[in-house]
Amino acid sequence: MYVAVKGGETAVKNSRKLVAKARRGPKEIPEIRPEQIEHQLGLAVDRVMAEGALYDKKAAVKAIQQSQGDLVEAGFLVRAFRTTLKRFGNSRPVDTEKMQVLRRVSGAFKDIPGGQILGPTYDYTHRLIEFGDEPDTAQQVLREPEGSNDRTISENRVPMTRVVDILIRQGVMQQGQGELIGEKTEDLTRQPLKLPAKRSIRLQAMARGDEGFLLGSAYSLQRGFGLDRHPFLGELRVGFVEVMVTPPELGFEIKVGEIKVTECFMINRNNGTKQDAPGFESGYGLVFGQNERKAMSVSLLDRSLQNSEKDTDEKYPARSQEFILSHCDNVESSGFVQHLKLPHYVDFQSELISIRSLQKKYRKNRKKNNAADL
Amino acid sequence: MQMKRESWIWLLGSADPADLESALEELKDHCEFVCIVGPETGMLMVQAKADGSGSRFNIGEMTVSKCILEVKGKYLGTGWVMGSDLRHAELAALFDGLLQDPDHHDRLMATLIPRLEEKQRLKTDILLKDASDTKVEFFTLKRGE
Amino acid sequence: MIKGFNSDVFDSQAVFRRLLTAVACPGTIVDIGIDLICPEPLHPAAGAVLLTLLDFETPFWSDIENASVSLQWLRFHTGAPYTRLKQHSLFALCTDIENLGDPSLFNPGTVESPDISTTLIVQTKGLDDTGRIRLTGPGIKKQNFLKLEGIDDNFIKIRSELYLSYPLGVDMIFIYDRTLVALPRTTKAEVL
Repeated sequence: MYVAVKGGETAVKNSRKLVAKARRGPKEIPEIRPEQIEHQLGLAVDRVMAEGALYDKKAAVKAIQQSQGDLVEAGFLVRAFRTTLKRFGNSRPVDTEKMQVLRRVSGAFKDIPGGQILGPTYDYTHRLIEFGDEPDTAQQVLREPEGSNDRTISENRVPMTRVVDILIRQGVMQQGQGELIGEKTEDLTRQPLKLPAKRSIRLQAMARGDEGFLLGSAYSLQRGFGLDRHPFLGELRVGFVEVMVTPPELGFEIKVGEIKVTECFMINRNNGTKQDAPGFESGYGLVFGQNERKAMSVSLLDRSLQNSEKDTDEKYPARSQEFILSHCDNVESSGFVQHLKLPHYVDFQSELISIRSLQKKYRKNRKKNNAADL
Repeated sequence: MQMKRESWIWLLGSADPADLESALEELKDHCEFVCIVGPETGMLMVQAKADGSGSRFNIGEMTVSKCILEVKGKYLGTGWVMGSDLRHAELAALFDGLLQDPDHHDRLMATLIPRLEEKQRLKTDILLKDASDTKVEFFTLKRGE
Repeated sequence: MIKGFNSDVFDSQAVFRRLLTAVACPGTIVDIGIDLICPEPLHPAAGAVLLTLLDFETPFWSDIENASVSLQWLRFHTGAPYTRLKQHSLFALCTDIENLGDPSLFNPGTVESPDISTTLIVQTKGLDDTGRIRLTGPGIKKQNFLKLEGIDDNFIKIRSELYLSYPLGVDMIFIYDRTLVALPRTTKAEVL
């Protein structure tokens, strides 16, 4: 018998009120301000922009506040918001070589042109919770520019050579394939994922993919599930890149903004085959905001998925395009896992009937077998 | 020195909107303009190149606002700003239009533009100084001869 | 520069709604429902439909010169790239109805993506729902009749050959002044 279920309207309404109440907390505590989230929870904002696939601080901040700090939920809100906006055009590909670098390190070479710049990182912190009431130690180093001495800094800016370019020049790494003339850039937000996917689609999917999933998958490679050699960090950069666009009404190129991105080159060794010369191969990752863990994971996976074009070794999950690309999106995965909370009363009823009839058959058979044994 | 239009479009688009509002007040005279497009908020797809130099791919979008308006029935001013501040896009477009107008060009080049340039440079300098403070100086122990 | 829609959002939504009705009920003459001033030789309905449907990702072909005021206006407001190849266009506008040419030269899509095809917009000298063209197919209860002033019977005949290659095909919108009528690829049109 099929019974349509209605009702619960009031309960739903009240649940929404309750979540608003839980989000706000006690009235005596002042409400958190958007600027506080933007500046004091900056890495959360970066993650939400990356997974929301929209560089928009205001939207990400609002989403974090509205989702009570649930960053996957916040990313979902940002994704929903981006569907309401019209797309004006594509930018020129950002030039990461000209990045205004905040941080840049290499695990492969000590002396790199431009130097190793640690920038703001948790890598050298003690990881001890500072329980005191003292103001953040960072406050002590806040400083205004000191005037004339600093004036020339911006004029002395030089582009930093990439570490992989050094390897290419030394002949131990192959120059990557440049862009083919007339090559169309596929867009995951316009066409559904088709497998095998082009590298451009893979890099886009991972740039907006779930940090945790990508991290875990990259870790599985390192532990031997698809990678048998130690990878090296060629270079990791965090900084601002210029976003340039040519609006049709102007006909010339203008700069519309500067966005913070993290770029990673991972180097892997390739012993070569009879046809392929031995050398190093790189994996690439580029994500919105400062998110080193993710950019590094993407670059490890990019290499492994590039290898999977040549020799499909799909017994390892992180070597399988389908496994990585179909499961890295947390709007999809969280939706599908969490849809199980929705009423499945009818489906389950049919399962129940089916199980009961199987049990009946089982008991009958057992009785019969027991009788035969006797 | 002659400044290119794309340079001031960026300065206006990246300015603090409050600076543009106060510059508008300073102008005092009534600016006639008609909005042709927007101001409206939309997105740009940010592209990059695989390995920094290979095939193009899409990283994700960014929110931008744009406005095109006609100043004095003659000059098409364009404003592009990051984010969703419509008033900022409108002001940027207005000043782009005014900067094309010989009646306003010189005065704005002497007042508003240098102010914006200075702020822009300060912002960059702080970032660069902070970063260069964290540059590693390696000490290597010499072994043998 | 002449202004486009008064409100990008509301006007394009209003026109899109009318367009949906027209495509859902082929042969029904629909008014665009908004006021729009557009440069010669564009009819208001053609301008409205194109402002609604075009954007920077939709290559656009027309028999009007790219440098003309009307095309510059369209490109200014939509950002659509102009293409000289009919085969590459997603939208096309024909104004010279004496020389319509062969509709099969436009892009009919592929079996994998029949949606990636040209939508052809044709400006006529008048629309009437009592003509000699009989329309049948999805969205039409029994049959509709149509008169497309200035359109040669031969064009409709070539179109009926194109009709056979469904799901591939070219969707068509005929325009006069503020009104339009749609002939999607699913509609069978015969000249009686």
